[in-house]
Amino acid sequence: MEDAHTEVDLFTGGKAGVGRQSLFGVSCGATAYSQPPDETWEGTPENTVPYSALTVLHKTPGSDGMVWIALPDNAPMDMTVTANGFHHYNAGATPQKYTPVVTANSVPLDPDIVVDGATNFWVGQNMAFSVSGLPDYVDSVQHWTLPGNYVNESYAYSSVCTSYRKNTDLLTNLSTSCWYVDKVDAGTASIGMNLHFSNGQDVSIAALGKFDMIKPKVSWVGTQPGTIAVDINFERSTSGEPWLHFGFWLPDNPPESQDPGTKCTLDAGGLNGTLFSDLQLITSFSSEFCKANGQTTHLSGSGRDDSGLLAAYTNFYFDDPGAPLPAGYVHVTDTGSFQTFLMFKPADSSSGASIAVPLKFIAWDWSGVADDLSSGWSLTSSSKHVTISDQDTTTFPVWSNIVTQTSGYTTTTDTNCN
Amino acid sequence: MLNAFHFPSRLLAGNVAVANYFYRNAGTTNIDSDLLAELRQTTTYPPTSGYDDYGADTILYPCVQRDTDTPDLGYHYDPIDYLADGLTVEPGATLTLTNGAVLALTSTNITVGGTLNTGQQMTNVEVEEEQSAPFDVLIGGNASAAYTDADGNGLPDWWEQYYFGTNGLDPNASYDGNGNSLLYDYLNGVTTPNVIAFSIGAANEFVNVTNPSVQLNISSGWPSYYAVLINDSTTTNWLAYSSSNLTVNLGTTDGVYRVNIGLEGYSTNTPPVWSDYRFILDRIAPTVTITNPVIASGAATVIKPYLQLQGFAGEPLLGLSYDISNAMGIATNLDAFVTDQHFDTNAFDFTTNWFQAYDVPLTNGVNRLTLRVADRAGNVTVTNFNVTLDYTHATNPPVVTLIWPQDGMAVSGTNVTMRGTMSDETGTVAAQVVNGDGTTNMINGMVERNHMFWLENVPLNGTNQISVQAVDAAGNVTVTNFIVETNSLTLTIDSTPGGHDLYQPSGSVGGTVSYPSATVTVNGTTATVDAEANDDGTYDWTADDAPIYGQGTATFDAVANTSGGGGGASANASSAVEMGATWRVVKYHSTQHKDVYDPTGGAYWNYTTTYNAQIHAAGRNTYQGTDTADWDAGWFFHGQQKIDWSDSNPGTLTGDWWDEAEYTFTDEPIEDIGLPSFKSVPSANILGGDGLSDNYVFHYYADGVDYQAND
Repeated sequence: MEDAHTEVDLFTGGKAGVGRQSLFGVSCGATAYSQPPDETWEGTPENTVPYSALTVLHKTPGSDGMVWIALPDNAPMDMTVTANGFHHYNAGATPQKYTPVVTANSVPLDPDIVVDGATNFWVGQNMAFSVSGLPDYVDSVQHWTLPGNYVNESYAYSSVCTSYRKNTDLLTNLSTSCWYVDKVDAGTASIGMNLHFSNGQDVSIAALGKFDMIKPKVSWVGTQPGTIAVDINFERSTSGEPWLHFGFWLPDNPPESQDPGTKCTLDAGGLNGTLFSDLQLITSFSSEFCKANGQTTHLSGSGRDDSGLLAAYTNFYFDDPGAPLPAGYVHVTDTGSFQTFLMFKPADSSSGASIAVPLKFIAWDWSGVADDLSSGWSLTSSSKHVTISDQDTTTFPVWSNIVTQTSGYTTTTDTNCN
Repeated sequence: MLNAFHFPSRLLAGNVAVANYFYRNAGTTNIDSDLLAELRQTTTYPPTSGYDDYGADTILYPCVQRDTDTPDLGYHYDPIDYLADGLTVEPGATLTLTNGAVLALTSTNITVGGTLNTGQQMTNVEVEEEQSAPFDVLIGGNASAAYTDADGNGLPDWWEQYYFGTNGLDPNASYDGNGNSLLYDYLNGVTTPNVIAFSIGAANEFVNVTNPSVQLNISSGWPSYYAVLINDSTTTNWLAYSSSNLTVNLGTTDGVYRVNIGLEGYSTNTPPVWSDYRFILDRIAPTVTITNPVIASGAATVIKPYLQLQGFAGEPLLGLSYDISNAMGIATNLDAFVTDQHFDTNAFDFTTNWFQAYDVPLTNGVNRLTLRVADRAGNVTVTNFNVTLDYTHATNPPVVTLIWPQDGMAVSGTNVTMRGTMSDETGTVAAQVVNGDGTTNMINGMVERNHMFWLENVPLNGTNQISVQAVDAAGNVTVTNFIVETNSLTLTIDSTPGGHDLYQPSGSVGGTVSYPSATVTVNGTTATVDAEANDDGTYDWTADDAPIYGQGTATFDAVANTSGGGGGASANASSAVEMGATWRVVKYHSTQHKDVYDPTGGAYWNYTTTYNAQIHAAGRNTYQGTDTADWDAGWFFHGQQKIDWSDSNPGTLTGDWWDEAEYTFTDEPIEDIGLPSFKSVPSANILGGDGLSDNYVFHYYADGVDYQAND
């Protein structure tokens, strides 16, 4: 009577990056032969071997005959099916390889290189990461690891400010999304998953993919071309009253004749300027208006600057703060310090998916003192500084207050004229 | 104490009422009804041997068949179910004869210390027989009770007792092996209603205990007794059968044990049936040798952050796992795999098993590993050792070897894939490419476990200065600078084998070349270049049998050379195709060369493939066989046609003798076409007449796998 032994090998194929694995579903089956009726195997009674008696790749198939297992790529290994307790049997196993692929905005990413479609993601663009290429499973537990600097949740920083932050809890979703705030060169997004299959088996598998994240190469340079003056040469001097002001932007003047206080010049690196915007925080401001009798009104505050701020032109933004010099007052001061952010919001086919992310900021300040002398209002002293210019930032500006021309600041009255 | 014996040959007075009476069921029911009724209370069967000493409560049922079916011809007798020399009912015991059972005694030696419930009568009789009366006492014997069916299942009690030794059977159950119900068997006079058939199963034929359990899978019959024989033992100890789960006692020494189990029924019509099972008692844990890393005094030091844990065991393995504990934490029950097995043709079993745990992640410092290896019997060997990752020992920069392209090579195409090897598979590789126009690109590559590195989609233009920087895990750097040119001779690779065909040794590769007289080779095989130009002015080339190289990724390197009108130029192109997963039989060993059945285990090959086969009569220098037999693929793969070994002149050959055949099929299930079978090879034609012993080996190469069949 013939006896025979067989060894079957599985070749997992693919490029064997160290530590890289693919998911395999191995379908097993075996038929056992009992006592042959004569000297050949022809006509030997046969029975199906229960799956629970089979072993392949050191695993026992589930009730559906499947073994789910993560295996390294490009590795040969024994895949001989063993029917435990049976002497003569005909067994086989058919493997199916599943290579999980990380997709970013539906672009399949490659674990080794940045594919063409993954080279032009922009900061601020909504990035939806998911994984494809998996078989059906019952449920899963997973955790994403994303490279670089990103936020993935909007939240109410204050009643007047919505901001963004990183919430690591969201990285446990099967699909996760985020907005990048900084560039990534060939960064790797990865997901580790524990898949639970209908036959009760669990497999841990990982997938990864490389992508680039582009951050616009821009400059945001702060200058202060304007002068601090006391006169009526100011756009808000609508009735001819004098102002203590830092530069001006008169509506009727051509741009080359303007004299803004602080000017933030954008070099957009060839990008469309409409993708950029600015946002200015008033770090602090204070003004006082003193009458001759010593009665003094104090104004102060901080928050997002929302008044008379910054008209957008093709390549620069400006601010020209100032304080009125009303009749009946003899001494006026105005002091402010500011951070002016350059924000970038990429065009996005998904409406509302992109957000404006900070790229740069400028810090600057000014101050001026005007006194009503016998000859009229006169600039007594002044200062101006750009303390930080063209500074990269990935920190979202936040505020708890909005300062307008008429609100968002505190007003007190006393006799303490400084 | 029951001291009777089973299944004696039976003979009754006058040698008439015998078990295999010739005229049984040869009569007719078309007779007088009173006579028919009378016959049904008689029998043509002899009594069974009864016990003469009853020490425990016992109920005797009728067990001799009354002629209740088609009447027998010939003499009919009053039924006697049990025949004994005397009767003793021990004190405290009760003997009950019920349902018309009859006990005949050949003496008047009756001692009833306990209770005797006949239910009927006890008489001294003079048997009206031709010979002298053999019976002195008849106990019981209400003839009409032969029809008693106390359990109401349609089967007379005597019939159930006779064949199965019990009452209350399910009349719809079948124990005759033919699927007929008990009621059918009774009504049709089937004399073999209890035919036992069974097989033996066990959780594992390899065991590490001397008393393994077996399961009897009874496909037919109602066993009443069982016996177990181990190896060559012959003493049969029949025991009452009560469960299909048995424990068998093997010997005290490790080795092969053949377990024979017999089952038999209650009636002599159910003779013993035997089935066997083989256990391999193995109580020795596998011997394990770890080859990588090299361990000395329980520890090893490495310079790479991923370990390929490799080793071998001296026997087949059924379980492999490892744990690792390091600064990152503890991970347990991680998978390791058998990568190859050695087949010992003398033992006719697999022996050495090589194994590997792939890509074991290490951290700086000490990593504690525990390797568990289990053999087929469940014996486990646990090996503990420490692996220290220490980069300070990595003093040499990585060794880098370029494979394609080579320095100075003229390459066709604007984006190519470069490949080579580096000694540290856990390191990184990148290339800086400065094109002829000054454009500079940085390309990150990947390194495979087998040390192959790939730099994909490398842009080329003009004369390209390429600098490959390989960095090992310790930070040592090797920079390899070379130049790749492009020229006007274009060469493309447009088609290669795909899918599972990439695992074939060769395949068809095609592309174009810009010069018609160019000589194109692919992986060393010369291609055929079409003389007719394409619309774009190129010329197609094809190599039908180009070797397929690579492991996990197939590579095709093409070279075009021109001379004369082509200006003596050359161009190179390469294509790398990632291979999917596949499987194949890598070893098949048969004790006979004549029956090579389905070595893939019944699975389907659902792709196009080509088989190459050879028969190699190794070590022989003379043959009476043909040396040029042209194997027919149809014969070879359908196994029906016989190779014509006699059509040529039997010759005397020198040295090894080979022949080969090739067959290609597409998308056919292997069951339908069968694998190449040697069963129709007339071995005598190969080896006869040379006076040498039959020691040749058939080699069958399928998909690069060597199947061997020894004579």
